[in-house]
Amino acid sequence: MKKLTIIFLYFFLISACNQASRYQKRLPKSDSSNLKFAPYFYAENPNLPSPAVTETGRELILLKTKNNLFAWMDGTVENGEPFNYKKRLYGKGNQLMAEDKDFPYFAKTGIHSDNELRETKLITGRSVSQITVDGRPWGSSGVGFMAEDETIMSVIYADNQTVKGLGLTHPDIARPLFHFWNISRDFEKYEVVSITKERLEFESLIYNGNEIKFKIQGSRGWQESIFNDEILGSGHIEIWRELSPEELEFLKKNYSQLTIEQFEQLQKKLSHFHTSEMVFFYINRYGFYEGHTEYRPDPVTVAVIFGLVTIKDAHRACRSDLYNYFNTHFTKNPE
Amino acid sequence: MRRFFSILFLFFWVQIHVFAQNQQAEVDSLVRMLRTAGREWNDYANPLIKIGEPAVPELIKNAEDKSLSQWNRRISVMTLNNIRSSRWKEAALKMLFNKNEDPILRNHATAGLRGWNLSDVKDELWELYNEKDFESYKSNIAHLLLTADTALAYKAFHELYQTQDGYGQRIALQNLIQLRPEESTTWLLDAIQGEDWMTSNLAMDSLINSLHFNTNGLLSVYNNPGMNEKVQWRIIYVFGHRKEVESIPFLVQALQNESWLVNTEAAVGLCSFEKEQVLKEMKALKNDSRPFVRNNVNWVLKQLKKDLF
Repeated sequence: MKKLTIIFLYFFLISACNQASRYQKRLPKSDSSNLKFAPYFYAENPNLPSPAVTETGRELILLKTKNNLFAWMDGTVENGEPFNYKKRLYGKGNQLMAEDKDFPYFAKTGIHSDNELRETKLITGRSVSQITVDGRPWGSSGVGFMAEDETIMSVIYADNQTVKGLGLTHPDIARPLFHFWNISRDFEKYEVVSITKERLEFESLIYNGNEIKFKIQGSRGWQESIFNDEILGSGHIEIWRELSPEELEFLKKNYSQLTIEQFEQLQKKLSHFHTSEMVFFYINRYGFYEGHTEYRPDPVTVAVIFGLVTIKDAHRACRSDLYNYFNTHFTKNPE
Repeated sequence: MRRFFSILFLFFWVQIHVFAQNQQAEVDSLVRMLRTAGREWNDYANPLIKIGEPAVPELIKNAEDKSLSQWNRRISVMTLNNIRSSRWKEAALKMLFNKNEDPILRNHATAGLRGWNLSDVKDELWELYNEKDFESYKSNIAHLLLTADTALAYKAFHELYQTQDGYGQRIALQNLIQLRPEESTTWLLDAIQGEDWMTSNLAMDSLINSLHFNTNGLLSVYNNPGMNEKVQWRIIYVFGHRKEVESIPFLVQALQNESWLVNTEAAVGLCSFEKEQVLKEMKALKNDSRPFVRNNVNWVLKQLKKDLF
């Protein structure tokens, strides 16, 4: 029995270390002994780092309600019970899993190597051309997983370049999305403040000093994955935040050539996205964010909204032309 | 001895009578609940389905009772559809052909008629198929025609294949192939060129497994000038998955097609063959001037090497 426990612990540590090495960004440490968790609500912002990791490895996020109460919740990114709409199983699913058979380098480092991408013709046993045909509009979904002129490889390749340019890895981008997803699944638990019996409405999360708002809407049925995996999607998720005066100032200074309409478009692209939870799993597992569809959480947008990079960094990573970056389809295959 | 058997008979007769009375009481109570049931209707429908035939007369009364809401009549129809009863067959036909009846209920009644021999009402079914008010339910009537008159069913699915898309078109294709297997190649060749994803996927799967495979037909579609890359991709996918040695030269040619979709699928298809079957062709293209050809060839060679060890 003891031996079994040791073996289990060994594999647990190995897998934990593997995922840890896939992150570029480290979370600030937090002493959780002084913290009180939901359903306890603070009347004022505790002004402590969020996200933060406790000494036991739990990842904490600070939430804000509509009536200005604050609560700590556990949003730890981890593998959990199965998540499968078809079987009505609503566990965390495989949040740390990375496709190691087709992308061994990616599974180890969290970023693809160009060589690995050049040599990819199959993902999860399906040819990349089949995934592309299924993923284009009016394939397995009406809006598609990529635009008509994009391929699965051209999209993964382009996004990999961008994420690399931002100095991040794909798990770095997936983590805040999973944090959001994990805590949002617990909202119903805390519907009412236990003491005042007041109805609660979580309105935003505090993340790297930014107040991030969101809207979640379910839908009937589910969307099947284009890969040969268990991932399904059902929800409509919108996430956004207001850009700070400094960020706006930077944009105004560097994008003065844009028309008012174009500038507003750029501002929205940097501060707002609509997606579905299946993409969170896709990002961590394959480094796939969807192509230019209405469900794409662009890595630059996610990184800016969640404060993983500054707008200045994003501007630099996108060859000093964010407007062009957001409006150009990914059509170059890694050959 | 005779007296003993008389008493035993009487005992069983009483038992059966009591059981029948109890069952009737249960049926009456459950059917009554269905008259006002909401979302929980399955709690009453499932025991009635289990009881089966004895529940049919009372359920038919519910289904025909116009004083009930459409929903409560509908759940009675749906319960009856799960009990295969000739009494319900007659009542369902009456409901289906009654033009004054609610079209939604008439449509629901079709599910209870599937599989029954309906040859005696084939003309009425065909008339109904062509009824304007019944436009949205055509596919269900076409299914009933399968056990009424296969020629009429063919005619119906032929029309549905040409007028519907998505699931409707896919179902029509499936039935056309089953009704006239000798025509399947023509239908599949047509479907593989169609716009609908579901139907063309069915055509691809059917062609992969078809015993009457028409290589020349597919090749001529592939070589049609101006043929779009998605259709060409489907054809390569079919050849790759049939794994027939005769298709190797064609796959090698497709490997050099400018379209990424096509040449990538050809590379994947070539990997399903034995090394010695494709090695010569691959070596000949190893130093091709086009980078995408070299990339594909190198990948195929790498895969073949992997399989060898």
